[in-house]
Amino acid sequence: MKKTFAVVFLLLSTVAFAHKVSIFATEQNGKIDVYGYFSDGTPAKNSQVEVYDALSGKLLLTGKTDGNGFFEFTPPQGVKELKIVLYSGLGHKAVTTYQLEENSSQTTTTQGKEKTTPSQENITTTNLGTESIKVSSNVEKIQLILYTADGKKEIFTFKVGGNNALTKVEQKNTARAVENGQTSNEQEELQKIRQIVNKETAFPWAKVFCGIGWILGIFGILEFIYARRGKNKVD
Amino acid sequence: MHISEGVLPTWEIVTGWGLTLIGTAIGLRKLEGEKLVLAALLTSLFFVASLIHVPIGVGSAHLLFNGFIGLILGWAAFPTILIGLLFQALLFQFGGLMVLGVNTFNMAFPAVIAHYLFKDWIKTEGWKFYAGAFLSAFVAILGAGLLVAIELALAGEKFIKDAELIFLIHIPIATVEGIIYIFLLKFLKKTYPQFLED
Repeated sequence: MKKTFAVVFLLLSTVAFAHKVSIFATEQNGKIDVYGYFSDGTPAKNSQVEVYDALSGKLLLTGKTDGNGFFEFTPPQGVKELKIVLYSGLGHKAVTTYQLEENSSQTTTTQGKEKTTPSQENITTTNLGTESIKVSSNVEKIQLILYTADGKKEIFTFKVGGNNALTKVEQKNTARAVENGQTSNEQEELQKIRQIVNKETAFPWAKVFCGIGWILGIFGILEFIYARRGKNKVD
Repeated sequence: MHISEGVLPTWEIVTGWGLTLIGTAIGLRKLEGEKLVLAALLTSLFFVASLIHVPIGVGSAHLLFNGFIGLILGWAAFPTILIGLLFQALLFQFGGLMVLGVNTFNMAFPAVIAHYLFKDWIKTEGWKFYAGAFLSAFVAILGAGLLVAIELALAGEKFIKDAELIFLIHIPIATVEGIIYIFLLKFLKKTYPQFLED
């Protein structure tokens, strides 16, 4: 059996792992962005998404993720908590609940800043998910243009594709980005998603060894039982 | 291939557990002596194999090794796969505890079929050995996929679409595994020929 293990570990060193689907929801400017991804980091493309009112259980809307695993929707008025279900086919399913804030403009004021209503209005498209749907599923780069309150323009370029749909390649006017509250919030949001996806898709070495230990232990106990039985028969 | 929690209706979950428990009971009777040690190692192999992800155009799939387990262990594939899946569910949230019965049956039953179809073939030399080792991967993996598709169809999903996806994804997986089985069996035959005799 030595060879069996040699083969297994040889393969482990070069490949990512699968196969669970996860779901991640964020809110941006009153819209909910849903991102579905598998445990190896690949996005869950063309997956059925169902949105329920978590309190009443009523089905609110359905849709499909795009080629990058994103689905965006505007939650209906009066719903406080959403339950979002993603089906990625072959019996894979992920569920998450999302608490909607009473006043959506408060979402950007976490750092004690005053509400930046004018700058929010001026930002025309801040949502990566929508942009990528509109362009096409095989775009390589997305340009995010932010118009700030004082009329200045900031351009961010994001690389799309690969394992994690959001990889920032270049950024212009970095100095301004720090000054503007909204912009840094956007960046934080993207970074948060990336961090969570990366953390969840890292190879779980500790768990693998833990599991193997348990399995060998259980068979050890079985062996013990069988051995005792065998002994009893002989006696 | 791991069906998630909350997709299947209760009757399927109960039936799955029933069939799995019967299979496990038969399997535990066959696990004796050195076979138990082999089963322990194969369970570990199965447990780890599902983490080995093979990227395929339309999606991603993972290795299963249920055919190999079936070829060597026969009915004992049931307890082996049950324990492997239990820890995959506990540690990686693949599948779940409620659907563990269904998932075990899906992967173990085709493995047992592969065992009865090809166990005599792999004892021979020549083309029958290679064909048996290679085809057992197809029977076990595509059989498991077919069971998943049928169960999802009974749960109300579209059968044709799922079945299509399963075949698209799992034919390359079965090919890769078939080749691995040939090497593993060749090795086993040379070093531990007693494992291939029942």
